[in-house]
Amino acid sequence: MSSNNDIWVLIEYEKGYLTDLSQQLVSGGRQLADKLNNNVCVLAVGECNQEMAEETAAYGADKVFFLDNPRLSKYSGELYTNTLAEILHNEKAGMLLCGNTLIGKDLMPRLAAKLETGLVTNCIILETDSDNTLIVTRPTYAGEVYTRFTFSPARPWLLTLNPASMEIKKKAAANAPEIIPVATHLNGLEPRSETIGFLKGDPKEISIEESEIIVAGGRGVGSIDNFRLLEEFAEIMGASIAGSLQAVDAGWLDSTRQVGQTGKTVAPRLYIACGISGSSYHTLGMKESETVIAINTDRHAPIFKLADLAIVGNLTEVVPALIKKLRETIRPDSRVNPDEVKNILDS
Amino acid sequence: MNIIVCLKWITCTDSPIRIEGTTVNERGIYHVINPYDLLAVEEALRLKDLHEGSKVTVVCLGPPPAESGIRRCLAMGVDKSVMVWDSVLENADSHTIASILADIIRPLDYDLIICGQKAADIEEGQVGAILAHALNLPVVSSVVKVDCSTENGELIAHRKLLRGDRDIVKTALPVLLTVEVGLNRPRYPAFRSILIAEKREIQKHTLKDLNLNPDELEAKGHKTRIVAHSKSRPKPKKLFTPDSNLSAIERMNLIMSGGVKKKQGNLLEGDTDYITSNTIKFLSEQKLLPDYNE
Repeated sequence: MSSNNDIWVLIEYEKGYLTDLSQQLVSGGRQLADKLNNNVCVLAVGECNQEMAEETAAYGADKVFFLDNPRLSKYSGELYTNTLAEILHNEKAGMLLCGNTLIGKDLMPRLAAKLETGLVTNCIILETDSDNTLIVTRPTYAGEVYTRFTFSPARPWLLTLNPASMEIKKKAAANAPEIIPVATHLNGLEPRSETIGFLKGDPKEISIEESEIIVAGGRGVGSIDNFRLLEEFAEIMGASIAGSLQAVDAGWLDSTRQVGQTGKTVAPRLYIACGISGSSYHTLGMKESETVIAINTDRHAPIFKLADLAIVGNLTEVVPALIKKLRETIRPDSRVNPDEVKNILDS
Repeated sequence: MNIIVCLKWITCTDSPIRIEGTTVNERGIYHVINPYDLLAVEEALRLKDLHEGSKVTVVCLGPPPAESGIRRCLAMGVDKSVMVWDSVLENADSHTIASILADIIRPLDYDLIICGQKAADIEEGQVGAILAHALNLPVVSSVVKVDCSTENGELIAHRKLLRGDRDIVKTALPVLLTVEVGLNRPRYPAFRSILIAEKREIQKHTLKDLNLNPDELEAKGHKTRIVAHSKSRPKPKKLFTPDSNLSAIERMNLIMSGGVKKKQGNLLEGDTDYITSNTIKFLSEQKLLPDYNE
């Protein structure tokens, strides 16, 4: 195995767990490395321990490089760029794979600029042709076209990968790779832009396209008072309120919160449809939702075909009972206080 | 305050895009100014209205038809426009584009450069960062809100994160911003402004005017190169081998569904207590119960 042109993978953690996308990246890197006869080097920034190293090894990592510097525990575009560029250069990395995540989208173009090498963003297919040239494919023209790219010889090549573009292959037993600490030289490096605050998205305010959980109401809600009930339910679920055209027409809801053919298209993690029959005009806007719960009095309502959990019942009984139960189950809200945010902005 | 906005003339993704061989068929295709760049223009004009004595300049590396897009920006209220074109730019990669933009912008007087986060057609999303590096400027990406104070030369921007979250970033001018959807809604120019814009001057240059040699650019080569376009295909479904103990019809059904997880379709009916406790159970199994930070 050659030590040059290794495949490097920048991994990310969420709440202490390796993200799905990072698993795919390491796994995909492994498959590519097998073809090209290279090593897979994992690059962990901020947090790493033996257990995490073993986990990446199970997905196919040969080496784990660990950047341990308190200044890197939180993402900073400039600090990350400088450190990573230096490591990739020193270690003569062949390519760097990174998820097309918030970090990937910000970091990789900066790295491309600093290293003066090519970057292909949002890749979905990595393949090699007969003489082992890497060809990467990514969607363009709003997904209508697949475009294939090749790289110039300048290394390291940079790639960000679309979620769900690679297959995860996990080995049962893997030798734990050694964690190689990497020295960082951040002294005297002051980023020219600095993050001075964070605004937690308030589900009540944010655009429904950005929401994680949506509670939606339709004609079946019946009255404005019942709709207020849904708003209360949404609040306790940490959800955004939305609705069908009927809810908007009835004046219960602002038109910017309409889901469907004439409204917005959403794909939240959880969509709770209350009193929505599920006409195609509405479902067109929500059918990509990960999990759907539907509450309807009609057990033959078409929305139930899309639902993971179909609740046949009257929402004026079910929803208050759910609110009561949720209040008992979960701890009181400790979201960011709006006054605190205001203080940050004023200072 | 002097603001520069970079424009790209792109294929409108709403037009019928057909693939012929390995290229996109030009028939029936129309072009527009990248919508992300229009957000940038609008933001520049908004800042111009707030800060007296500001000037907005647009720079476009685009073919002759891009002139109509630039005129639209002039009609919106842009003060000055620069247009550069050479046929070698047709297949240029992000690095080449960014380096030419840097050459054009360097001699100009600027406090703020605004670019679209990405082009809506090719969606590479990297010219902004490379341009910033070439001009030695800090860059803030995915900006959806800008507050700028010219007195102390400071700029505060909100960066779009997931689920409506925002990072508040402070930086000193000059700076380069790349902007995201949600920033603003580009104004529609008045008819009178459109007519006046028709007669306004656009500075047109070739690469030679900028002391750039097209052949050299070509020879320098590209960091990435487009090999071929093809029609996108639906995401391949994972094929799996169904259990051989199943009946033929069940196996056929499984293969035809591609092994895709069906909607669970659990039905709850009856007593309210029964419904609520099972719903809560479902939510906690799916890890969907709201979890609040302690």
